[in-house]
Parts: sequence; C-alpha cells; structure tokens
Amino acid sequence: MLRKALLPSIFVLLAYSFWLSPDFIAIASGVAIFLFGMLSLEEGFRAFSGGMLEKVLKRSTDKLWKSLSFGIVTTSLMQSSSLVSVITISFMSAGLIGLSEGIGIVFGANLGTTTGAWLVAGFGLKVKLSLYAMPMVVFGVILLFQKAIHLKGIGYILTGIGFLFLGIHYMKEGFDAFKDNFDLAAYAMSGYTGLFLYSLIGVLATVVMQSSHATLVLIITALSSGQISYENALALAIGANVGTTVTAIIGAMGSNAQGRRLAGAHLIFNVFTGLVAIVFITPLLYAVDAISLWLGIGETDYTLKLAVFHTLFNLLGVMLMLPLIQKMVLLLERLIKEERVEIAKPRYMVASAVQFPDTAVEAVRKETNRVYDNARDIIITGLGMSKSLVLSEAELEKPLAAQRSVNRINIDDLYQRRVKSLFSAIIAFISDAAFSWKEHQSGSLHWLRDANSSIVESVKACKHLQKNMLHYLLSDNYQIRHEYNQLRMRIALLLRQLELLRQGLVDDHSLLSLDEIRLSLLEWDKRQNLRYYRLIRDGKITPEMGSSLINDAGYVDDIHDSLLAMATTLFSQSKRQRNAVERELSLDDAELDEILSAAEQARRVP
Amino acid sequence: MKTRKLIERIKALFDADLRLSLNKQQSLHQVLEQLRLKQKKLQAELLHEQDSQRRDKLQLKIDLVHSQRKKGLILLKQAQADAGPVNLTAAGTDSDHRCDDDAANDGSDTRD
Repeated sequence: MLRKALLPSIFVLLAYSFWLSPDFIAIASGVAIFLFGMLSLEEGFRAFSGGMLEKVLKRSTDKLWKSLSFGIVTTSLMQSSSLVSVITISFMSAGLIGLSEGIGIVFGANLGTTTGAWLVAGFGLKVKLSLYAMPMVVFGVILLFQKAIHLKGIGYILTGIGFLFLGIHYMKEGFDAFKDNFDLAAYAMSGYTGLFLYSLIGVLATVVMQSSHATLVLIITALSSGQISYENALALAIGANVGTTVTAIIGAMGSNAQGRRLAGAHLIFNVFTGLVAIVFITPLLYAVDAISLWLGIGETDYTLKLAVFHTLFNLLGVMLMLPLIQKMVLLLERLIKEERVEIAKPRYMVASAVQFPDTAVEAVRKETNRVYDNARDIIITGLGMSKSLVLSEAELEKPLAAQRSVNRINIDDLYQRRVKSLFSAIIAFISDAAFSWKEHQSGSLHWLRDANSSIVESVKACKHLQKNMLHYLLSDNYQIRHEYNQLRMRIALLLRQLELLRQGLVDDHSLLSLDEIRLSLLEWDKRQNLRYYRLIRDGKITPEMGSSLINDAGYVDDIHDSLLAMATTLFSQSKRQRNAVERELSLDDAELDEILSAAEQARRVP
Repeated sequence: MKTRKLIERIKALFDADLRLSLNKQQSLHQVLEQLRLKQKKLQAELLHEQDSQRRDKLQLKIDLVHSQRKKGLILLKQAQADAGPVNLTAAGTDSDHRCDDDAANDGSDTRD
C-alpha cells in the first residue's frame, strides 16, 4: 500500500515544487538528464563487456599502482574528477572492473584533479569540457542508429557523456540563483571554527557550482582581492574536495550496489582526507611553505601555494588510505548490500544422499517436482493466467475471455533463477552419483534427468509463445483473441489434468491414462488447423495472424509433448516393473492417429 | 499343474532373466486386466448415454483402451515366447485377456 502511494506522492511533491520555483525545475531536470546520461553510459560500456575495452581496462587496473595511475592520467587529461568517477561507476555497473580497481581509480582521480589547481593558479587556464557536450550528443545519436554493436556502444557512451555535461549545466543554471549568497568575506573567522565553517562553505559552493575548479577560481579571486585569509582559502579548498563527491553520489543513484559502493568509497576518502587536512593544518602549512620555497614560489603567491596545498593534502590522503583499501571494500560490501535475487536452491539433494542409491533417487525425484512446480507457475503467469484459476475446478473459458489486461513477466529471468538453477544442481548431483549402482536406480535417474529436460523444453516453448500470445490477447479482433485464449486454455486444462494425476485424484492414475490426453490433443490439433485455414479464407483473421497462430499452436504442442513426457516419469504412481510395462503399452502418435482416422471413417458411414 | 508351477518358481529363483520375464508377464496381466475392466465400464456408460457428442467421446476412449489391450497382448505373447516353453504365472494365461474375438469387447461393433 505504502509502496503504491510513494510514486504518486513524489510526482505531486515535485509538481508542487516546480510550480513554486522555476529554479528548482532547472535543478531537477539537470539531475534527471544527468541520471539519463549515466544510464546511457552504462548501456554503452555494456556493449564492450567481454571485448577489447574490458581487456584494456582489466590490464590497466589489475594492480593498485596501475589503477591509481589510470585515475591520475585520465583525470589530468579530462580535467574533471567527477567525470572520471561517474565513468568508473558505470564501468563497475557494467561489470567491467571490480570495487578495488574502482577505488584505485577514484584515489588516482583525486590526485589527478590537483593538476587543475595548478592550471588555474599558474596559467589562469580553465578547461571547459562542457563545451563539447552538444556535439557529443549529436555524434552519439547518429552512432546510435548504426547497426554494428560497437558503434552503437560508442554512440551510447558519447550521448551519455553529453547528457552528463548537459545535466551539470542545468544544475548549475538552477543553482545560479543561490550563487550570489556566497559572500565569502561575510563569515571570516580564525581558528578551527573558521576552518570547519569555510570547509562547509567550500562543500556547498562546489555542490552549487557542480565543479571544484569553479570553486577554486572563486577562492583564488577572493584570496587575491583580500576578501578572505589564506587559512580560510585552504579550508574552502578542502571543502571543494569533499563537495565534488556529490556528482558521484548523484551518479550512483541510478547505479547498482557496486556503483553505490564506489561512490561511498569516494565520499569516505574525501571526507577522511578533508578531516586529516583540517586536523593537521599547521604542519601542512609548514610543509607548503617549505615546498613553495624549494619550488621558488614567492612568499605571498598564495594562489600557487594553494595549488601546492591541494596536491599535498590529496597526496597525504592517498598515502593514508592506500593500506586501508581492502578494509574499505569489506566495510562497503557490508554496508551496501547487493539486491537479493531469489535463486531457487536444492532442498533435498544433500551431499550425503549420493551415498545411498534409493535416497538419491528420491531426492532427485522431489527436486524434480520442485522444478516442475516452478516451471508450471512460470507457464501460468507467463501466459497471463492466475495460478488460483488454473489449478481450481472453476470454469476457465469465461474468465480468460473477459480478461482485459495482461501482466508481462520476464520468463527468461524466472527460468534462470527458478528452473535452470535447480536443473543444473540436479545434473551435477546425478553426475556425482556412483556408477556402481544397481541398474534400476541408474535407470530411474536417467528417466528423471529426461523429465527435467522436458520441463525445461516446456518453459522454452512458453517463452516463444508469450510474445504473440500477450500481443493478440489484447487485440481488437475478437477472432484472434478467441483463438489465443483457446491455446492458453489447452495448456491450462493440461496443467489441471496433470495436477489431478499427480495427486492421484483420477480413477485411473496409470500412465496409460495419459494416452487419453494425448488422443484428445491430437484430435483438437487436427480440427484447429482446419479452422485456422478457414478463418484466413473467410477474412476473419489476416494471413499474418494466421501464420502466427499456426506457429504458436506448434509451441502449444511442444509444451504438451514435453509436459506429458515429464508426467510419464514424475507422476507415475505405479511400481517400477509396472511402470515399465505401462510405458511399453503407451501408444505413439502414429497409433493414436490410426484410432482417430478409424473413428472419423466410422462417423462418415451412415 | 501345481507342480509345474512350483518347478517354474524354483527355476526362477536361480535365473535372473527368467525372474525378470515372469515379473513382466505378471505386470502385463495386471495391466491388461485393469484395461479390460475399464473398457467394460466405458461400454456400460456408452449404453446409457444419449448425447451424441458424449457418445463419440466415450467411443473414442473405448477405441483407445482397445488398442492398448491389443498392444499389451502382443507384448505378453512375446514375453511368454522369450521365457521358454513353460511360462505359467500366478496371474493366468493370455487366453484370459483375449480381446479381438470377444464381440462385446470390440469397440468397432458398438459404434453408431
């Protein structure tokens, strides 16, 4: 209930805020465009997973010094630690690199970003990569229309980076209204209170301007005009360093647990480094003076001294944090948990069961029953039906025909998690089983393995059937809707009958009773095919609909065949010898066809 | 007859293949008997059924059981031949399960 109300509440709240403040629209749209850029970037990098980029990334980040250097070099080139951080987050979300490598890159990015301070302080140079945002989006979108996967991937990456910058641009625009409130001289204070206060202002200014470089320019201007003291300027630089993590945190919002962990590592590193810099401000100042003297920087050239300080405290932070990387990884993994994906695990096949043939066969049989249960549920919901309806005695046709909306479930995902995981465990268990067993037990395992394969086949056929089924069930054409409903009803009826057979609720629960189901299906099949051709001929359905229907009826047949083959093994209530005899007595398709032909002939004779 | 049966069982104790064959014959007898009863029940239902559609369905079921029985008889004869000249079992002989010459059991005769 609460979850259902959350999304509309957020919408209403946002709409009200937009109405109140146009600046908020710019900020929120900036965040939205930025996140869209992140998604696009992830999609782009995913195209390269398992390929050249993954190899290059793995090779250039497999050791700590390599990942550090990677971060330093790329950030120095791009002049944006935020961009390097968010790209690293998308690398991780796409599974291209691990958390340790990502942390190495982020640490390196913190060092690389100090080159910016040198450029700003030394040459007054400001590299504005955002100028390339629009062309990147244009080139990116053109590449998106290409067929080659790699070109498409590059397209997504370019579009993603373009949108990142565009998002940052809008956030800046929105925050511009608050920019004038930063009167840096207004809070001039000395001592630790001043340091903390100015660090906080530095954080806020960087969040507002979305660039630590812009904050540095502001600090240098204020410092050179004497608005703030040198110590306050240093505190602002520390704050700017912490504030720059906000971009990574926004970037991680749309990312998976790995991405969020990296943003966490980034935040921990920058906050820790900032705290260390504040606590050891006096020795750091002495060190800055000494280095400045050694480099020939003038006593009053505070802008270059600021660059020295920026580099020094980031270097100190990296040196202090490097030995703690593994501990940080463990902490982040504990704090930020992966979303739990429910994967079916074997319940009965314990290692000790392999030692006892009869126990092992029973364990596999029980586990196979679970595979069937899961597959049956996937088939029912995959075709837009409800389990309670299919497995009841209620009438099927009317509720199915009255259905006006159908939920689409991801059969592939469910198959992987609920069927394949168990099937793989069964295969592994059977492989472990001793070959010296008695023939009949090995035989039972053989049949059970086949039953599992049949179940898997039925789910796969259902996956193929799902696409057209869900499409045509909502069609305006009554006839095609009716035919597809008939198809899923056939499956539902079979599942119902199998359930009765399984529970021993039918009078004749021998395997031979399955022949009855086979015969009725064969009869139905013959009638249906003729009907389909008649419907096409009468123009009640288009030939395209007809061909889909014929193909999908084939998938329904596959589901029937697979499930009946499974039931022959799994639902047999007879003893072993009796079961073997019943199997032999079962009629094949040709024999069933013969019965139908004879019946047809007899009907024709008056 | 009883002595021959006893000899057969003692032989089966020492011959795994024979034992297997006799077990199979026994199972076949049981299944055939069950099928015979099922067919009889269906035929009784058919006699009282008026609805033509339901009659067709019942008839089809009878035809099916009839075919299964026919197949079972062939398998039984084969199993008996494989087991050797003497192959009596507790369940009886194949003559108990004749279906083709029994007019009441033949599905085709009861069709409309």
